[in-house]
Amino acid sequence: MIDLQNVGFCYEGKERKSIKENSIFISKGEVVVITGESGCGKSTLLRCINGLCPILYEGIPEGEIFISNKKRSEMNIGNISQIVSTVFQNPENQFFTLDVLSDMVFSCENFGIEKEDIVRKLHYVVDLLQIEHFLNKKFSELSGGEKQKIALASALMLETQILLMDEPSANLDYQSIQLLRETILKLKSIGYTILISEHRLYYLKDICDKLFIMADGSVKQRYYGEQLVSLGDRFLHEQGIRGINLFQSDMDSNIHNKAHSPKILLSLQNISFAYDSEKKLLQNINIDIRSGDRIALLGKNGSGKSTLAKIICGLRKENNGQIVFCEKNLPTKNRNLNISYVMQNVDFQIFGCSLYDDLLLGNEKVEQIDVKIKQILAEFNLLNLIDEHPMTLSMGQKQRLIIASSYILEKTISIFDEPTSGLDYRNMKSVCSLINSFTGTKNASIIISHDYEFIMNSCNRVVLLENGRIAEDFPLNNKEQLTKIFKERL
Amino acid sequence: MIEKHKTLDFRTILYLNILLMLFLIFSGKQQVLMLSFLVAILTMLDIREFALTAKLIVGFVLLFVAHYGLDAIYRTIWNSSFILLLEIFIFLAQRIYPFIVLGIVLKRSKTLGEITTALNRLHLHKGIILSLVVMIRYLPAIKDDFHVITEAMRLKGIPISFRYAILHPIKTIEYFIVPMLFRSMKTTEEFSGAALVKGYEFHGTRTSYFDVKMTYKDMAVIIISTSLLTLCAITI
Repeated sequence: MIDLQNVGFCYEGKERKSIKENSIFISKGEVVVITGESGCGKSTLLRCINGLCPILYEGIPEGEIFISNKKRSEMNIGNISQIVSTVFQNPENQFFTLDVLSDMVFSCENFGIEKEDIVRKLHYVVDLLQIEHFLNKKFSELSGGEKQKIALASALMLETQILLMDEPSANLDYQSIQLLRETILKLKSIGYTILISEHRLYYLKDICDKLFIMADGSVKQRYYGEQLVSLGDRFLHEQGIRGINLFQSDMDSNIHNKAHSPKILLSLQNISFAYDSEKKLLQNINIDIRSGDRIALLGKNGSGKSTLAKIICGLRKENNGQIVFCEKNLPTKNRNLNISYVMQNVDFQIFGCSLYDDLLLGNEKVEQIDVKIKQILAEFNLLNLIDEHPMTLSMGQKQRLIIASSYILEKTISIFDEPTSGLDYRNMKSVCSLINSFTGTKNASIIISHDYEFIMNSCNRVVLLENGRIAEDFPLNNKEQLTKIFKERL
Repeated sequence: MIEKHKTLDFRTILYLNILLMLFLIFSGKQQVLMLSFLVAILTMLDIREFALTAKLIVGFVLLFVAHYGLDAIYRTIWNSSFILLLEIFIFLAQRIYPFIVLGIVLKRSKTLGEITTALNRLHLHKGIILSLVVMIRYLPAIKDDFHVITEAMRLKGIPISFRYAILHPIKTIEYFIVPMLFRSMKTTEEFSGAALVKGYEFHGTRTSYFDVKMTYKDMAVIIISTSLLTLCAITI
């Protein structure tokens, strides 16, 4: 069905080839997963198949790709799209319209398919994925998992037999990933050929027929059928790849609260909040945050995790209750002086033209600021980039820069919002180290995350929000309780 | 499957927008303004949003009350330039109001697929259509991004105030524009990729799932509104 012969690609303006010498054969009806560390060339390989390289991303291609026995180089992107559909990582940016129905029919309309035929295809896809109840909804009413399901449905409307998926689980929570898994399983059962580029492997281990591990632009290892089951997490972790057995992740014994006499740094007392008067989002939230705490803040989408985090760092004002810091009430406007917040998309938090400028901003009045900035950049291994534009940094470096900024003001609490979405194992471990180095025994971190493997590696306490209240608050001493929450309550 | 109630075509609403704009620019008559609002509110009734129609009528009446009230205050109680300034504001608001109504009608009744097909039928250049569609699609996203940037500025301790913006205009623009530009670059790249694989560049005639055609109702609205507005502007 897909035959890659010595495929390589070098992006325009780059000296190094992003992928090289890849020869892969995918038979009809197979589910094939490509994994590897960030930057190993997974996405480029998919772009070479669907034609976005070199049509959108200019560069020099090498080798030849045959799709359904046709030479890809002799087809334009319109012809390719009629035999290969693609689902991208971010569902938001693959919808052209604001409602489900018109997005689903959009590609068929573009290809000039007659209305009767569109109606037939629509019936087929709606029945296949059982999404009739979504048809008259707007995207703003759907969860991340539901959006990804609709993205898949839109891709299926062209009735291609080949489906490419580029990190489809990157922005999804646990339940949404389960939904995605069921959908892929269904498509496999009716004969679709599916090629998935992915970091998270656990949800695919029973589905995929072949697993290819890429490194430095080439497929280095190939595993087939039964071999997959025997793959150990340790083996994958050594290569910087996420584990295949999610709930077998081991806890990091170094992260238990080591503060000798943990003192209360921040106390949330009877915090309540509502966006409208009829429905309270948060009700009587009481939490004591102690030195050395690394709190995993869990909850379903819309349970109020982000709102609570924003109240703690002063971006929202609670309707009732108070936040006590060092035994004094901490007013909303002063909270950002003591508490930092690392957003999911760190690009929004960078304002300076260089790393130095960015750290100086807002800290101009700090004594000996010049020396401090250099010291802190050295501590975070960023000193050699001091004059670089922060937007040229990797995501991990940007996260470090934002935490570096909170070091200058000696902030004691840091909040991280989904810091590992779309990260491979090695980068996830870097985020764990960052949280570890910030928290130590004197400070505390609050981490909003849906990433089980990451929580096991970085947190020592779990707080679960349900129906606007704290439903669980326990030290993370064993994984059973956390596993149960993931399986039943998220 | 979903069957939609057939409302006025996108091209009719586009025509009404241009028609009202011309008449409201070239005629200062209150009757023209009232007729313009009447035309706009009829399109709202056509999409069967009755509660919203009632609210919009109340809003328009309140603007009228404010207009005549301020005029009376200026002539009898307080002869101040401040009142004149408020009157200018109300004057502008009254003239923008019909376009807001038409905008809401579009937002509530038309999908981007229908708008794309209608624009295609007008034989506009594909580039212009794509720009319009992307603009409509991403307006809500830009609003969200803008909100996130202001939050990030507050976290960073960058003052967000009118005074700061006046004193440091370049810096303020830089703080907003730089993150927005980087964000847009990524969004544009992803969006273009999705556009290509969904056949946007396919060189064939586009079809439409939705009924996009001009009906007798559209023709009647175009002819009657044009005739009435012309008559009103010339005679009354």
